[in-house]
Amino acid sequence: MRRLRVLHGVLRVTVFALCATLLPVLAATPALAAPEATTLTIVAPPSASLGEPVIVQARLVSAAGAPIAGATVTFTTRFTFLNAGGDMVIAEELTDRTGTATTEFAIRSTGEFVARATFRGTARYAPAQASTPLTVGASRQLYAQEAGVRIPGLNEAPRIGQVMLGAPSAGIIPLIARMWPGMSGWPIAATLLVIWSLYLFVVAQVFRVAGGAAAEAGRQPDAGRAEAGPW
Amino acid sequence: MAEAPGAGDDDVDALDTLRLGRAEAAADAHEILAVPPEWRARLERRGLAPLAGTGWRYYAWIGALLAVLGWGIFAYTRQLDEGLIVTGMRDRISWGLYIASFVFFIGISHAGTLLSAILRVTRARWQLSVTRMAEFITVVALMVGALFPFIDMGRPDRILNILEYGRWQSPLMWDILAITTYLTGSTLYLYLPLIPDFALARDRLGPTAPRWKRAFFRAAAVGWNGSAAQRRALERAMTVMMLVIIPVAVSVHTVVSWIFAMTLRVAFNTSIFGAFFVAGAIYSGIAAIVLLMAVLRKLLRLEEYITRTQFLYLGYMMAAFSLIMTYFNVSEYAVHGYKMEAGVPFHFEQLMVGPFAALFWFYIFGGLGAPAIIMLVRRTRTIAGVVCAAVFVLLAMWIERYLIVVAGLRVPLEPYAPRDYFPSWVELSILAGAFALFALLISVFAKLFPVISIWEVVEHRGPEPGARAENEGSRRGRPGVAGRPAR
Repeated sequence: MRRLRVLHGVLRVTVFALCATLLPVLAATPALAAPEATTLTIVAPPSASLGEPVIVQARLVSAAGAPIAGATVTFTTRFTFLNAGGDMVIAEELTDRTGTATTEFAIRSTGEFVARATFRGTARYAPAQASTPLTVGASRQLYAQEAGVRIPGLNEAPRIGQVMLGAPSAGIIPLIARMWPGMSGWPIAATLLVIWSLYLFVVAQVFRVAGGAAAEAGRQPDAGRAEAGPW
Repeated sequence: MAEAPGAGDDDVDALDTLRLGRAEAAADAHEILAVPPEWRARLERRGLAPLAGTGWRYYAWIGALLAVLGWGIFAYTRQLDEGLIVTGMRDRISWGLYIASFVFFIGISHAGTLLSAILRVTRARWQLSVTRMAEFITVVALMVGALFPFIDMGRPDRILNILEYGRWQSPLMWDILAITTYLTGSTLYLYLPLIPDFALARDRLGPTAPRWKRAFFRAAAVGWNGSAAQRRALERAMTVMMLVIIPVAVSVHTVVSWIFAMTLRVAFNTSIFGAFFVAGAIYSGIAAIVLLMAVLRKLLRLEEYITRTQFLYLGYMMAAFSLIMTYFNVSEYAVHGYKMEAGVPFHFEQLMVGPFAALFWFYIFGGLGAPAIIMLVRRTRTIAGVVCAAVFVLLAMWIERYLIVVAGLRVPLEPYAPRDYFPSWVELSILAGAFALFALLISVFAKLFPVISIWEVVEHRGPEPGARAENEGSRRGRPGVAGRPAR
């Protein structure tokens, strides 16, 4: 019974000592502050010419409207090429004293794009994002979406420079030529078929050599070899 | 190899013409040349000797090659582990040593099958003693060269994507199809004339040869006994193959060139790349044959069968192709230089006076000029001279491929500062490993297959007058020439 009382006393002293040590420390620790909200605005011309450089600016400010300097802003655009697509990173820039990050890039295909600026946030500032539409127009593309041979006047409208001179001609040959990009596999497949068939023919001749030897050995053991020598 | 420089060329040519004429006449009449039995026995002995036994020097050589190959494999594991960042390649110059070496190896692979087929079709009998070596080169170079695109991939496991997502319109797809077709055809073309020689090895090699080797020869000979029916079948097969393999070989290097020519790059923007690559491939291929011929002739003591005639004729072919290559280069640079489109001035500057100038001018003077001059000058028109020219050609043609790939990609697409490329230790080690693999496969093949097509030499070529005298003269250190003892 006495032992139990002693143990109880030790426990009370320990708890008191712990409380006396930790409580002032906990009281002195500041509460984890929530990151300050930020606002990101993006400015880009609404339209641009194909291949021409476009200047895009993003401005990052705090909730109080104060510019945030030295923050990293990532510029991306949604991009699709053939059967692949995704956000393509154009640039990563730091904001200056006015909170502005600037980049310059040229889009090499026509269409409707969305230029996006992203601030991923820090311990102090919350992330923010902004986007703006961008139309890139031109009468031509800088690359062709489909491989193949295009012959103006045959499977494409004849033209001089950008001036179309008429529609593609009609008839069976232009029709076949127009089907070329989709059909380009067939001539290759046909050529391969011919070559590999000839290979098979050659392999058949090797089997014929082996078969001839077996037949001869069955008819006249060793006679062929004795007459003809080793070859 | 010792001989009187330049002595008796006309006599050699006259004797060759006489003898070749006899062989061709016999071949035209479907006759088999009557050859002295002792000469034939000596040829068989000499041709089959490497198959019968192996000395310690061979194992030491194989050990050294395996060590280099092992180092190359170690370097590749570093690349697999850490990615292409361990190479010198980056986004601006994304092809380097690997793709240059790929083009080089595919190029020398043309040596064998294409040359052998063309010479067979034209019944040039002088080449019968070297066709086998040429065909070895083709198969081995293709096997090694085809590894480089895989090595060049940061994620080689994605190679299966080409089957899943491959497009007929892509030159890369054409390349895979062409190389697969060519490798299969070349292997068949190597095997067909080997059948009678396998039979010879089966019948002649005694119990000194290991049991597995005798079993291999028995199986590979497919029961060949030289009957008329078998001969007809073999002749049919060889005729088909020699006709098919020529366009296939031409198509392979054309397609390899299109990988570059169909890419939107200033330096690749030319329509003669196909022909240029095919000519370059044959050019470097001939040089590779000459070099291998010289090495095997010396090591396997084949001086009686591989004489000055083969070296001279291949040297003449090399000289002719140096002129063809010169023509293509003049055409290429004159047309581009005349128009000077955007990017061309930069390309010309970097090649001719910039960072690639030393390599470029070595290619022009050492690779195109020197071989032609060596063959033109009577004093240097010797076996040693031809071998020297072949070394120049091989070095220059590797450099040419490096210039096409690296200098071509260095031309900026946008107004940014050009980036430089220098291969890292990983790339250099892998390249050394590839060359070791090439030498290793040739060494192993030389122990499995007769390096001379014995039956064709016996049936269609026969002994070369004076070849033995030359051989013996060479061994005693006395000068001599094929066709006539030294004066």
